[in-house]
Amino acid sequence: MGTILKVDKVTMQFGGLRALGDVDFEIQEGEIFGLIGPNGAGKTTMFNCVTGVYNPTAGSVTFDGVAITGKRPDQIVEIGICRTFQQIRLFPNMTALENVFVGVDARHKTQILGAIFRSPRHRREEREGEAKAMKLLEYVGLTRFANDLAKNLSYGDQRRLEIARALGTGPKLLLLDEPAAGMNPVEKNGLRDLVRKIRDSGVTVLLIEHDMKVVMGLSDRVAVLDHGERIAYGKPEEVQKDPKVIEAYLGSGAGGNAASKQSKQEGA
Amino acid sequence: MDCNTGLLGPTFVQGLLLGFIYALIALGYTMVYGVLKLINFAHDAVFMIGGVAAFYVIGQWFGLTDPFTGVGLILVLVAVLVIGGLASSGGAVLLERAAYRPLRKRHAARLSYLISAIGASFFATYLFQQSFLLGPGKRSFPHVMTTEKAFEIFGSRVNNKGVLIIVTVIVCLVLLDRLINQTKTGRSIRALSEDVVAAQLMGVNVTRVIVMTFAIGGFFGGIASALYSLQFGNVVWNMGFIPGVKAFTAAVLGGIGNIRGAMLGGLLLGLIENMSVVCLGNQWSDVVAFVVLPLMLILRPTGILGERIGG
Repeated sequence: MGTILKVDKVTMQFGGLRALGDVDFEIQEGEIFGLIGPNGAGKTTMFNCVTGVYNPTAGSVTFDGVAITGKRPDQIVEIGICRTFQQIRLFPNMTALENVFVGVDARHKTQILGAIFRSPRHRREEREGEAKAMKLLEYVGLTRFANDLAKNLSYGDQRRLEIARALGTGPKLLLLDEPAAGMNPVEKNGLRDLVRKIRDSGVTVLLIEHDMKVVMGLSDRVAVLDHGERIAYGKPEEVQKDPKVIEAYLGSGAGGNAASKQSKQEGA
Repeated sequence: MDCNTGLLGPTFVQGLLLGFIYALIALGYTMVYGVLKLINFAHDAVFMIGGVAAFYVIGQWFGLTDPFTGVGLILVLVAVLVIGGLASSGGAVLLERAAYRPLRKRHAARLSYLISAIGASFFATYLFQQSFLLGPGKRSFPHVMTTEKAFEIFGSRVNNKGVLIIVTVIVCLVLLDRLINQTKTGRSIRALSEDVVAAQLMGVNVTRVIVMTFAIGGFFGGIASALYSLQFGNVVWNMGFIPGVKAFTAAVLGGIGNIRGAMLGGLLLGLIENMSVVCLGNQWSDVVAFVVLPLMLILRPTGILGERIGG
């Protein structure tokens, strides 16, 4: 079990705003790592730096020993990182199956000429791709919605579909951006089980979550961001006791659940 | 206003044929709109290149200007269509590279794309007007097929060129439909047209898919151009202008960004414009065709089938 993701002194500057300043952390292979912090702390910005949406102003991100800063998002997917979104970004007018299929396609090689002439590889990839997408739908419990348009699924199911689509790309590291946002308690329990199941299947998970019960219960280790700085780092039970965390994130004197009452929105 | 009902049959057939060609051109507008959210105003030049290339290769280089029959005819027709398709496809890819990609890399505003498109269109069109290329006049397209009556429907003759148009366009539409709905390329194009950022974060190579889209749209435009040149028997540097504007209208009519909408819009526009002749006379057909556009934009701005690519 080595380090799978190394975030090294990452700084992200937007004009005069320092969204991230010298943030460091390392994720071990096979763990569930929580990234937490109040609204605007820079969590989604960090996701964007890891997945290639942003190119950090300074610092580097290394995945599996390969520097990925400056690479395009689709190249980073190919290397083995995929994500979900805080605000759901499915392909609304494609079916659930097709949504996952787009993810699965990331590993497919057929080019357009192969498709036009229906080459053996094209046919094999279409067949295997559909089977794999169906299997992933089953994995997240959406088999019966396979042929429904993504936009017609319930909110919780859309979140699960995003996870299936991301898993379709065959990631070694899965980034979940507030997967429990807007879910009811039953759905949250199901999500917890799903995230553990994903980890047990050998995929490392990096999780942003506002719901303290979810994140503390799930994570092996956490990093806490506040105003773009990493203020704590370690096991959940240690971090929870850290006075700086209580001060910054939970509000002085507040209980453990105060944070979940905050608004779910955070600027990207 | 007196209607000449005797014209109903012939104008219907003529409208259908023209509509099929519009549909094929409209696909190019609608697909590019789907992925880039911009009207590719240079698609008329892309269209022109196809017919002109077939004219050069078949008529000038190989000098095939006499009618063919049988297998020879089929081979030469396939050659004309494929040359037209490939040439326009290449033109479209070049256009993307020269006129759009530099803007995309610099995150230019929408208006810049529009200006760039119009500039590219003028450049390509007037380039072919120069005497070292086509020159300013009409050039006769090689008469590789004679016009013969194939069958009669609604009391109107359909000739062999009409049959060629119908068969070719239907094959193209079926192929495209399958490409869009049952291949990786098609899924990427649809994903891109729904959400560029999400598509890229799911592993879609955006630049490659955009190039593909131009190539595919250009290919069908080129086939349409080859058919158009065969039908009317000549090519000319500005031949893309009117069919281009009509196909753009057709794409908006069906719902810009929507592939099936483009097919439907093309057919409808061809029919409307030609059948208006029955009551209004020949000189009105373009007026009617272009009244359709503002009417549609007022009554149903998203077009008949709405804005979404694919099935």
